[in-house]
Amino acid sequence: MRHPLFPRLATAAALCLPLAALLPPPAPTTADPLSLEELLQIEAEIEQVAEHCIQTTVGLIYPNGSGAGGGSGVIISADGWILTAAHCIPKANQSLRVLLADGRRLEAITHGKESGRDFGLIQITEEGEWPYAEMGDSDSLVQDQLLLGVGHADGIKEGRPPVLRLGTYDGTQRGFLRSTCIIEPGDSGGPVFDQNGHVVGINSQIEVSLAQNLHVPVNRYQQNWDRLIASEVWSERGLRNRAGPPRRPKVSLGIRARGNGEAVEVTGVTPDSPAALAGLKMGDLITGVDGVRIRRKGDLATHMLDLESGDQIVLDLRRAEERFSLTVEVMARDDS
Amino acid sequence: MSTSARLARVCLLLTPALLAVPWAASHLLPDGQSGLQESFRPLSAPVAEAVAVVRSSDADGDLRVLGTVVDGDGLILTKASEVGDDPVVEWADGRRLAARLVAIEDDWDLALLQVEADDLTAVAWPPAEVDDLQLGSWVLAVGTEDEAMRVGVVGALPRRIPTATPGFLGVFPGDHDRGAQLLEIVPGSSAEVAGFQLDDVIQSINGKRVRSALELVRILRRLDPGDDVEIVYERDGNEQEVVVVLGQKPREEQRSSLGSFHVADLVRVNHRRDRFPAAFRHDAVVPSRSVGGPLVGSDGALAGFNLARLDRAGMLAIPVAEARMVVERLKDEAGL
Repeated sequence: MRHPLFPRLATAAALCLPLAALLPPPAPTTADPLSLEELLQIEAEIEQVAEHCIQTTVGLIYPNGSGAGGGSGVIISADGWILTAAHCIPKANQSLRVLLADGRRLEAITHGKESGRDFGLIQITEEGEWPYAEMGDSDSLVQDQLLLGVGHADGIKEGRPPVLRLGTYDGTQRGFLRSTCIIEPGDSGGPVFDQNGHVVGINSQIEVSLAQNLHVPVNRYQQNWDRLIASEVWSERGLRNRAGPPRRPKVSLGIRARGNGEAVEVTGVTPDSPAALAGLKMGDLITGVDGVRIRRKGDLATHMLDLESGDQIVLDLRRAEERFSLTVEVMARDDS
Repeated sequence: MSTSARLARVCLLLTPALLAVPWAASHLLPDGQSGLQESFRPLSAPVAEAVAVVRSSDADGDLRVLGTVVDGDGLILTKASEVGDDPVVEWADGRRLAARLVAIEDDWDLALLQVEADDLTAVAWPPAEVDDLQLGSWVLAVGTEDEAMRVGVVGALPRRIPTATPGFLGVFPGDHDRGAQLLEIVPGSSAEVAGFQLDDVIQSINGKRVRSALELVRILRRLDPGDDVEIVYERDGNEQEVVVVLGQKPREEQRSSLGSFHVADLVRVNHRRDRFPAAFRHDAVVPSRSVGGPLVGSDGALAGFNLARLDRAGMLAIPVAEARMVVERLKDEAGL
């Protein structure tokens, strides 16, 4: 069951004595300057595993109306088990299709998920032998060791395979692995590999800093395997409100705005947008939406989280001394 | 309510006050690269001598981008859409030279500038037959001598980059019995250039019937900048027809709107970041104001030039062989 790349890689590593002697096991780190020879050796190893990292990463395509926004995943067995993030799974037993890097689309179904630590499982339901990556040990990562992040960055793009990125391991944060493999929406659920092409983490969330990319340690999947394959959906006590990636509304009004704690001021209206259509103007104050008081931008965004394109909302507005309401039909976000 | 809690966290991250804290600013670039950068310094240092800053201005304010000297007699390759009026080229040693725009190739958004000098250090073109762009290969994004270089890998091989932004007509439409009535027209937009007037009623676009303002917006969102569209409209009871070339959204309309806020949006991207014939993606990310500089591979040879900061996680670049042909074409065009 071992992946065919392993023996070759093991040989390559064994032959590279200077590298092995200089760097701490199990993988080279980048904390100290490396010689050009070492850099070329690392490059050769990355190039050797890169294609397999891409081939084992999948894109998630859910049917319309299933309440899921897609994401990425990684196949970890020949019969098609796929690791992903919990927030890429709307519910258990949801059918979907997974997109392989070569363009094939396969029928699949969701299994279990744990929302607090953001891990979940999907299975390809078609018969076949699928390309897969082995799981590594997320507990044995070394500070500053190189990692490869893969995923459908910014969503699935026609004709583009999942995108590879390079980063380094930087310890843990709130129970997640932290790395400098820069990820973004669409990468969620995609894998982080060590230099041998073993999956050590699953993309989960980011913070403002480009250095703060958080991944679920792969060992969590192994520790909770039975619950996941049994399609159990749970959230560990006390974690519910602390972890999990940010969601953003799928729909947009087409305004820029700032909240002041009392109301949300419209600072710009995009021409041709729903807001422009409805007659919203710069300087308008939004005080409520669908009867709910709005004081901050977040209030409005929260309200819009579960809306679909074409839904209508009623905005309560203040313009100079006037108070009035406008009905706005929201549209799918322009993801450009 | 895990959803609102998650949002609350993101909103906290988006607070401008937090962004202004020095430690946050210093972490806006991924860390953990110092060792790698030091390792690659011998390869990047010679190339950095050929990199300069191009400053200019346009109606939106000051522009700044990098340029690469491609000919010691004063020819500099840079990103066309980031250069405005009266460009001045600045080297790390303080030398400043006024430049003139020689020629532009819109397909790649590249421009050739010329300064009065014959002693500049130019980049060396690699032998034409060398084409070793491989998935996972090292790439160094080289800045000026006093600007940090970034290290990354080739994350996706060259592919055509389609339009990411819909075509822009520039109207605020409202519902009308017979179509979409123009309530406002954006100054300088395609709609104004085409001679549209307030209260014109658009009835069809490319033969597609427009029954409401929203329908007009939906049709426009499926069209690309540069598309010719045939618009039938009614003015003072008379039916008229006009062909309009759609434009691009103005710069200020491309920032995050309320519907699309996300930490990933905090990265400033280049206005023109699509419609390239065959760009590759890499993760040696530099700010949008530092594109136009060269990329170097692990052999020290020129690998390409940065075309655009695409998003949080990636850059788009032109492969060196293509770039060389662009430069030759631009020189031919200018009779140089």
